Amino acid sequence: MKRFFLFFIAFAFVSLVGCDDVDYPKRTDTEQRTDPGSGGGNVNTTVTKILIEDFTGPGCQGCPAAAVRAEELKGLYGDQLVVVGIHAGYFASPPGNPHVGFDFSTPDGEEYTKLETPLTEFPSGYVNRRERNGSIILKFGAWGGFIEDFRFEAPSMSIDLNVSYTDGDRKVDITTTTTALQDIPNATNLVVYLVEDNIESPQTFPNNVTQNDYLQRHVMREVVTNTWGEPLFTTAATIGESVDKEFNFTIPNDWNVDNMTVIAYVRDTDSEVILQVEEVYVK
Amino acid sequence: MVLKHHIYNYIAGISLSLVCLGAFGQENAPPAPDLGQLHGNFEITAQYYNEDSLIGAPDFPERVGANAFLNLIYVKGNFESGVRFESYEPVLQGYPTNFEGSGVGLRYARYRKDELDITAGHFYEQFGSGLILRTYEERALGVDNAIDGIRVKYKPFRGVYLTGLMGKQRFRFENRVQNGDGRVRGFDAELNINELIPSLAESRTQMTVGGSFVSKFQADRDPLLVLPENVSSYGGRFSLTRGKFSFLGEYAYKINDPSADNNFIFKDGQAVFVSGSYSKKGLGITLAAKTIDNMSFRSDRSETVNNLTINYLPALTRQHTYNLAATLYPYATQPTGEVGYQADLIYKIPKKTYFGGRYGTTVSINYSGVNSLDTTQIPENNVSDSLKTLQGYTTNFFSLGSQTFFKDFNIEVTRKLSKKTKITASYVNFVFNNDVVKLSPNKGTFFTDIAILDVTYKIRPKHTLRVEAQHLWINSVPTKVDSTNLNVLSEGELGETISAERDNGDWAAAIVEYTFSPHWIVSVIDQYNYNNNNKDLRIHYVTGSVVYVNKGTRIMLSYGRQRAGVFCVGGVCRNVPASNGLTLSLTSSF
Amino acid sequence: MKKNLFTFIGLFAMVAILFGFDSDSKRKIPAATVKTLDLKTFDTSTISNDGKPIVISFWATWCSPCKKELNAIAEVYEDWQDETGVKVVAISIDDARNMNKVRPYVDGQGWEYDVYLDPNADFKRAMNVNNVPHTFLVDGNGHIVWQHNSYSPGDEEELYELVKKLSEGKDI
Repeated sequence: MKRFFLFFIAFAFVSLVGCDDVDYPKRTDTEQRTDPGSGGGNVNTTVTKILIEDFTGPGCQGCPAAAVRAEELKGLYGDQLVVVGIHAGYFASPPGNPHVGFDFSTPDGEEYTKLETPLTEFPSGYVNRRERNGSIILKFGAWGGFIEDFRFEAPSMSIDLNVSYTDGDRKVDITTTTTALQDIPNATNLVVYLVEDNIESPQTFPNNVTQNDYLQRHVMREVVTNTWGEPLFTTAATIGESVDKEFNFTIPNDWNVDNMTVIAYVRDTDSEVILQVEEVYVK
Repeated sequence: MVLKHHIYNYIAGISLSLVCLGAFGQENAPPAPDLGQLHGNFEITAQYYNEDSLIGAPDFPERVGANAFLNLIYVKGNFESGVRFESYEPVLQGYPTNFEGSGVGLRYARYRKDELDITAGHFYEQFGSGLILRTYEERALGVDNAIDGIRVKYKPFRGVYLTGLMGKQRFRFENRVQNGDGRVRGFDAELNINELIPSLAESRTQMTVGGSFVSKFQADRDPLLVLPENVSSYGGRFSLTRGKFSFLGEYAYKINDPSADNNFIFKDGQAVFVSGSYSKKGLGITLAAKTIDNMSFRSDRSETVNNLTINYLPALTRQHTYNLAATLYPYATQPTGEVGYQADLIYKIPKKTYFGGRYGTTVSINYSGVNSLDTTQIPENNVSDSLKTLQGYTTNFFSLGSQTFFKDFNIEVTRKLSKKTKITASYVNFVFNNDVVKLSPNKGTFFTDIAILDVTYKIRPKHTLRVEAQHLWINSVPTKVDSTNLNVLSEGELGETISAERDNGDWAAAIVEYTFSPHWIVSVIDQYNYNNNNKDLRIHYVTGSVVYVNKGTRIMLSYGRQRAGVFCVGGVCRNVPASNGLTLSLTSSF
Repeated sequence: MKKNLFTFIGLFAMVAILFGFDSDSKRKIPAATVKTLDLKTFDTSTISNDGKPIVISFWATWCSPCKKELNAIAEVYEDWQDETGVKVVAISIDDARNMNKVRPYVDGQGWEYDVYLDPNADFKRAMNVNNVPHTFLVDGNGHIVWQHNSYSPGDEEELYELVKKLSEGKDI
């Protein structure tokens, strides 16, 4: 009897000691790791870059908070982090998005919401489509901590991404050279997005309040390749192997080329993990 | 890979059935050695979906969705063990989409002897009213936050009840149950004063006091914020009953717990619930009040909706049963902050009086209101270094804010007119702040009036006809906002006015139900959105259903259109998308 | 996928036919912790009625058919008790949202039943109840001998026929 009583006191103790009162919540030991990327030209990867696919919509009240978090992380990780806002799901189209004329959803984006179990809770995101606790769907509060788990991993792929743009016909030419930096056992695909940043449009905030001049960040406008990408290495890749690809796309007149970037990433077709990502300004 | 998995599931399922057979076979044999007893229940709901673009029912390529559960409990002497086999092949529309596949969703072993009760595996537990801990299953909503770990209950003295637990919470289901990230540890003590002090055993005054501690652990890897890895909360409660009066009070406190729910502020949280009642034969009165301030508590700080909740914060409003009142505008607690109050009266006017009539009349009146908590935002750049930062806001204890979240006044009168006829008339008035509760994509605060008439007529013994008629009228008022800070303003303040909509307009509904006791119930329900702003959406939602009941088994077959709506049990709700099709549901206990 | 589904339905239906429709295995009232209306802790395995039948009915304040059933029995409860000595035990599964309204409701309706609160469904689970209303009949030896899910007006008459049989010492 006495023994069990002690056991309970131990239980109570465990509950009591678990108490972390935080006085200064903002980390001060952090600094920007790398310089943010500059426009145009040529970038070559040497680290494992990170892609956050932030699923959002103009009717989603909680989504601006996720976009803010993504920008805070971008401020921290610089060009090691690439963010794309994918408008999809209930809050991207009517009736969930009440802002007529500002539906940025795409069929490809809708497909991406069904990659694992269909996304119904927004905001949510994928971080390199890697699994955390058995799921690739991460709420925004978990993005930062998860990035810390793998950002020092040696890259298995490098992408040499070249973008050139001609003003007259609004044509963007994209060439890539992807090189295996390690042996990769599975087939890989290359996916290319066209992204437009800072699109001014209405957004619903908490309490159903609308801000008309909200800037939608990093909106995925187009998947230049197929939804799931162009085959890169069809079976496996050995270290040093390299593949060149070429794409082009004509940018519609109502898209602001000055704010546009090209994102290219390599997807492991078996595990669905994004092995490497690269982003370059169109202009 | 997938196929292999299903084969395992079949084997598991079939062997479970064989276990059933074996156990039952043994049981029927006379005085055999005690092999224990096996009992359980199962449930399957399968729906065939038609595409119906008019009501917004999406095309569902797989056509059929089905959720199935088989619970088995085996008891032998002091030992008990249970397993639940679950199947979502695929999951029904509107259910959490992270339920997938088939497999074991719960398993536990339990040993009880004298004053000791030990459970290993999954368990459901509630401390007090659940303000800081309640794990429960609400299958109809897809809510199951069972803890997978160890629980010990112990009674060291008469009148002293102790509970200790630790474990991880159930999160998703993917061919097997998957637990969440954080750990939960808890301890609860409840003292029954009358049992503890023998001289008070027969006292008219009955008293219990209780206290609990719950702490969760989740690692912090966040690169931007120093997040508390251990978040603890504690609570105390007191209940007193004396004759016709009873009183219940509960308080809970939680230390800083930045989360997606509170947008990562480091403020502490608290909640209070008090309730008093007076009742005697023919009369019952309840008064209750509560306040919640930043009390969302989950074992994963980044989770949202109904996932991984540790505590339970039900709405302090009436739980309606009639269709339009229950499913169109149900209120759900705002865990970040609210103040609510409720008064409830039930009175039975005696029979053979002027107002009571020949058989008596029951009147119930209920009023509840929920307001925002009065808070003052702290601008982050005004905080000096000596103060704690990221506190978000300040508030005074139990201070009522100016914003109305919800109000409900309702009255219901039930009267038996003759031996054959019974009638219930009801009026419900809601004020529903959709900008806060966000049930519908439309803006504004909705004002609704609902009238309900329910007549039951006994045609002959065991044959009963019931007819229900309901109507809902709706109005809405515009919301005023401060366009720079985006705060909603109260009346009289200057700001930008946001136009209001009448949501989906008025509704009429009718139900005809014929029951033939004890086996059959046949019913047809029509909900008609005859006054929708969009003329194309003025639709009849008609569903017909047949129910067959035999002892512990119930089979229901229904066909028709189901409107998009909100389905609530207790304080928790789930959005159900519109659907059109055939539903088969079978439940059985054995 | 569909094939799997039908196999599952078949499997569950098989179990249903085997046990659901012919559940005559006798067991005692399982042990679970519930609360009395004055919030005292109570062990359900101690429910008894001096060798006379017991009706255990699961209900909730938000469940119309449940209230109809218990109100219908309340009208004839005195007669039932006089003739058979039966006792009705009403288990409210109301959670924290409505738990404080149970006692005023019970008194308001003038029910004379033994009422217990099962706010976290511990007893409901132990009795394998899927949904309310669900009524059990317990014989004089404390064995659960019959159960019925849902309620239609008139069901109480069938229940009473069974109660009478039990009180006369017959098997059902």
